[in-house]
Amino acid sequence: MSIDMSQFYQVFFEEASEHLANMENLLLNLDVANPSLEDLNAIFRAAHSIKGGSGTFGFTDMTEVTHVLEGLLDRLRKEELALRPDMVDAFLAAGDVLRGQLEHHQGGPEVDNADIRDISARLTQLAVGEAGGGARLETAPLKGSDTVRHLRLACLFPPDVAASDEAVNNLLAALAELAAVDTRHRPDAANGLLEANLTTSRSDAELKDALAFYLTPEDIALSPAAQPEESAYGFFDDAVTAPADDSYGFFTDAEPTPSGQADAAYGFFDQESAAAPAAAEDADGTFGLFDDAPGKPEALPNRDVTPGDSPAAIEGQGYGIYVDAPGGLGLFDNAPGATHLLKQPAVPEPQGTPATASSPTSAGRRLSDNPSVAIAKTGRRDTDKTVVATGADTSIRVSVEKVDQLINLVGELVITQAMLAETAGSLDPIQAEKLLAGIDLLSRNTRDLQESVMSIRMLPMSMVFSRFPRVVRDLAGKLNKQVEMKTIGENTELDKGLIEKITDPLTHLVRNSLDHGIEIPEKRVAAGKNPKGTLTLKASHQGGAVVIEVMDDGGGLNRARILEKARERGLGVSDAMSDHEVWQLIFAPGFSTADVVTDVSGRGVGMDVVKRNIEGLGGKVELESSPGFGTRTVIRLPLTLAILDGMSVGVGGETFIVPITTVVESLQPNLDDIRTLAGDSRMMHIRGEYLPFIALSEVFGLPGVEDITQGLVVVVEGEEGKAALFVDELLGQHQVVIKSLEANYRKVPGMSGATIMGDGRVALILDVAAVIRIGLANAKRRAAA
Amino acid sequence: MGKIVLTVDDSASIRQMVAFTLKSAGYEVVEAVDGEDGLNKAKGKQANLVLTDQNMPKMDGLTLIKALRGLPQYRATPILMLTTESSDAMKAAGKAAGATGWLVKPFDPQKLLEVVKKVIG
Repeated sequence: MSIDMSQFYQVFFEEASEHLANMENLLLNLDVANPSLEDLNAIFRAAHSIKGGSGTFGFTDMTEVTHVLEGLLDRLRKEELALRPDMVDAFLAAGDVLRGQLEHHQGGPEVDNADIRDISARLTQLAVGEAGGGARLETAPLKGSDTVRHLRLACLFPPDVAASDEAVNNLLAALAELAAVDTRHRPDAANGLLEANLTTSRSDAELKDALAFYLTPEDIALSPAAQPEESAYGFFDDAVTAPADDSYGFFTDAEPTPSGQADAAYGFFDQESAAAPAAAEDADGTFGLFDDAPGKPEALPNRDVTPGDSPAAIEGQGYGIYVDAPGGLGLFDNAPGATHLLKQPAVPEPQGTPATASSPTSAGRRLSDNPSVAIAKTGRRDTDKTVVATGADTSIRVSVEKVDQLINLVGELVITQAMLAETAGSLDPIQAEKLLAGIDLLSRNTRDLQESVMSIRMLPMSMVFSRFPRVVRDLAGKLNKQVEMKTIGENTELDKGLIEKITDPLTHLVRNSLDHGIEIPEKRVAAGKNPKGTLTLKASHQGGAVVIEVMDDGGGLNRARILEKARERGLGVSDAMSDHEVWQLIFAPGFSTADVVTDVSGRGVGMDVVKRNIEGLGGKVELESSPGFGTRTVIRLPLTLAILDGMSVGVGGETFIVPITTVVESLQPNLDDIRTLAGDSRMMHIRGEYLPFIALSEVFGLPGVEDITQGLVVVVEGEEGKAALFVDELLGQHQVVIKSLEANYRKVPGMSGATIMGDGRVALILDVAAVIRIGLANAKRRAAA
Repeated sequence: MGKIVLTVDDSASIRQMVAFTLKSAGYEVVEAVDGEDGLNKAKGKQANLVLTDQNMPKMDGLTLIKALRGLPQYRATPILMLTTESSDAMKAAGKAAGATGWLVKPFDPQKLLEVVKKVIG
C-alpha cells in the first residue's frame, strides 16, 4: 500500500511554523544568565518536533538544521553546557533559516545554501567550543549541501570482510547509490584496503553510513580530492566509544550501543544479557521489540530462529548478533541487512528485496531522505484544497474573500434597514405599531449582525506586536544598547486589513525609538537612568478607534535641534512655536535630526511616510516628548476600513461625507475673517492662522450658497495642512459603510469612496487631501489668469 | 471491528500521518496529544496497541508507559515507543519502563504498518 505523504504536509507546515514562532518567543524571553530548565526543554521540544516531522515528511534539509540545533539544545537542557548570548543568537539565526526552508517547501524562494552551511557550522562550533577535546559530538549534518564534491575515500576492512566477495559487492553497491565510485583499490583477502574516488552531493556522514556495517566512521578517511576539507562537516573523534559499537552508526545521532547489532535489524532484547539489551533490531534500527517486555506477540519468538555463527565470533568482527536470542533475526526473514550480516551461506538470500528496503543500509531513513521535489510540489497543491482540521481544533480556515463578501452583504443589509426605518418614520405610530416594532428589532439585529461579521475580520494586535521582540533584540545588539520591550494590550483587536498595513509604520517608529530615542547605556547611567532602556508598545480601544502607542524612555526630542534643522531646510519656524507644533515638524518630508545616518534609521525618509501611511488608513499620528524622559507616538486608527465615521455636509442639495478624523472644527464664518487675495483666491483668518478658503460648491461645480454668512466652514486637516471648507450646511454625524467607487464606477478626483445614506441616496466621501489640492490649484489658476 | 490503536504524539502532523496510515489498513485509531491525554484516553477505551512518542509536554512517553503498565488492563498490551533517539540508553529506559519495543523516527507509513502488523496482526 502506498500512502501519499503530501496530504500531511499542510499540517506539518502549520505545526512547524507554530513551533518556530514558539521557539523564537521562548528564546527572546530567555534569561541567558539563568535559563529556566522548563524553557530550555520547551525550546528543545520545538526543535525536536520539527526534526521529527521534517524527517518523516521528507524535508531533510530542515532535519539537518534541526538536528544540529537539537544536539546543542539537548546538551543545554541536560546542563552539560552553559547558555551564552551567542548561542541564543545562533538559535535565532537557525530559526530564521528553518523558516526560510519551510517557506521554500511551501513554494517560497530557495534558501541560500551558504546560510544553511553557516548556521550548521556556527552551531557546531558552539558545541565544539564547549565540548573540549575528546568529548563526543553528535552534530554532524545528515546531509551536505547540494554542491557536488569530489572526494577521496580510503579505508581498511577487516580481512574476513575483505575476503568475502559478496560483502565487498554489497558495500560497493551501497556506496554506488550515494556517489559515483571510481574504485582504485578493491579490498581482497590479501589487502583489505579500499581506495576510491567519489563524486557525490552527499555528506560525509551519509557516505560513512554506507560503510558503517563494517567500519567505524573514524576508520574511514574521506578527503576532498581538490579542495581542503570543510571543517564544519567533519566528524569528530569519538574517544569514549568502543570501536565495536560504532559499526552501526547508521544514524548520526545514534548513541554507542554496547550490544551487537544495535542499529541494525529489527530485534528483541536478549533477556539473558544485561549488558546487551539489543539482540537484534530492524535493519535500519527503526524499530525493535523488547524481548521480555509485556505485550510482545507470542508467536514471534518461535519463528524462524536462525542459528548462526557463535555470538563471540560475530562480535569479534565489530558487530554482534545474538543469534540465540528468541525471535532473533529470523523474525524478519526479509529484514534488510540481516542475512547479509549473518554471512550465512547456508541460508539463501531472500528472493526479492523487501518492499520497504532496497539496500542493506538504513532503508527506512533513506526512503524519507529522498522525496522527489515533484511529489512535494504536486502534493502541496492537493492539500491546498483540503480543509485542514487539526486535532481538537475548533477553528476553520476561510478565505478572506468570503469574509469580505459577507461584510459587503451585511453592509447592503444595513442600508436596506436604514431605508426601511426612514420610510417607516412617516407612518402613523398607532396604526403601524407592529411594523414599527419590527423595524426597531430589525435595526438592532442588523447592528449586532454587522458587529459579529466585522469581528470575523478582527485580529489581535499581538499579530503585529509579536514580531517586535526580535526586531528590538537585533537592533539593540547592533546599536550596542540595552533595551527591554514591553507590550500592553496585545489582545486588542483590529481589522485584518489594518493589521497588515500598520506593521511597516510601527516598525519604523520602533526603529526610530531605538536609534534616536533610547540612549547608549553609559549615557543613561550618566543621566541617572537604568542602563537598560524600555520600549513599550501599547494597544487599546478608545471609543470607535484603536490607539496604538510606541513609548520609549529615552532622551526625548531635541526642540532646539529640530528648530535649527527646520531653519536649515527653510521651513518657516519661530522660537515661539508650541512644542506640539515643533514635534509636527519631524513629519515633514526629508526631515532628520540624526547626527549620523545609521543603517538602522535616520536617512530622513520616514516620519513623513509613516504619517502618510497612517492617514491613508484613516488614522492620525501624534507625538509627545519630554526631554530626558522619552517620547510617545500615538497612532489612532479606525477599527476597520469598511466603516467610516463621517460628518455629512450639504452642498447645493448634494450630501458629502467628510471623514471625522480629518475634521478639526466647524464654525460660522465671519465676513471680516475672509481675505480676498489677487485672482479671487480667498484665505480665512482663524485665531492667527490663515487658511485657504475652499468652497466645495466651486470644487465640484455645484450651485451652493453664495453668501458666506449663510453657510458654514469645516476646518479640515489633510496631508498638506489645514484648510477651511465652505459648505451650505452640516447634516449630522454617521457611521457609513464604505463602498468603493473604483470597483463600482471609476476613480473620481476628490472622492475616496461612496456610501448609501438611510434615504437610499448615494453620498460621496471626500478625499480631504485631494479636495484641498484641487481647491488650491483652482485658486492658482485664477491668480494666473 | 478493527483493532484499536492509541497513538500519542504532541505533533499533529505525525498523529495525522499515523492515524491515516493505520485507519487505511483497517485499524481503529484513537489520538492523544500528550502523555496525560494518552493515559486518560487509554483508560477510557481499551486499546490493543499503544504507540507513543517520547518527547511530549506534560507527560513524556516513558512516564506514560510506566503509568499504563500500572493499570491492570494494560499489563499485557503491546506498547511501542516512537523515538528519534535510537540510543542504547533510551532503549534501556524504554525497556525498563515496560515498552514492548521501539520504532525510530523518522519512519515511513509502510514501516509503521509492518511493525504494527507484526505486533497485533
